Amino acid sequence: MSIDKKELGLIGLRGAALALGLLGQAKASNSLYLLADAAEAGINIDEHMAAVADKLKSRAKTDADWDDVYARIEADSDRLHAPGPGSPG
Amino acid sequence: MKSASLYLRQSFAVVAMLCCLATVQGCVGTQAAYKAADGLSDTAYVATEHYSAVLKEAADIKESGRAPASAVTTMQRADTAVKPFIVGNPTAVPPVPSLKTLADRYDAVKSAENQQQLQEAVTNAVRELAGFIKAVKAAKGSGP
Repeated sequence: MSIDKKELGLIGLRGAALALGLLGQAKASNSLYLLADAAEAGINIDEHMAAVADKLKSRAKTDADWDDVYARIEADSDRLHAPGPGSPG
Repeated sequence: MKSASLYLRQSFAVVAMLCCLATVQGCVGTQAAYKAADGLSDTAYVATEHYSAVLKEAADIKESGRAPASAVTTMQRADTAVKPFIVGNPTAVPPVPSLKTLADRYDAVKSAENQQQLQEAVTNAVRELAGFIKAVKAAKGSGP
């Protein structure tokens, strides 16, 4: 099993965030966690869109592809707008 | 009946907006997906996938609990602005069709009217998606 450079970078960022948190530097720790989250999210979006590119190059889109993406949109939209962690007020 | 030059201008506007969006996103995969689109119907599908990926990111940020409430509110408002252009809004007056509905219509009958409606819908969706991406990026860069 191998770990690529991106994953190593994320592990390093989160490790540093954890260390700062243990040292009582909550603000700096949180900023590093956010940075790691942002980097990971960017990687995830890029990988997702690269997979979409590969799919369109290999075959035509189908109704099932549309159904799949709309189902994901509804699920994530519910998560974004649900009350709970991170919700305003 | 709209002139051919108008369609050309609209097509150019869509391509220009997509280029800006890919630049804002700054991702090789995103650019590859828009380039892989074979026609307007595929572009509508890619924009829908792009929105879905950004939406997942926004939901993950919100659930992490690390972004301030104001940033979450901004993401939610930006999502509310873009979502109807992607999934449609049957209760709006007049009703807003989804990108899939318009793409299906255009694939079935490649008329100038269907092309114009799909092109306008993609343009509107991409414009609002750019705002959503900005809101998500701002939320990512903001700590309590």
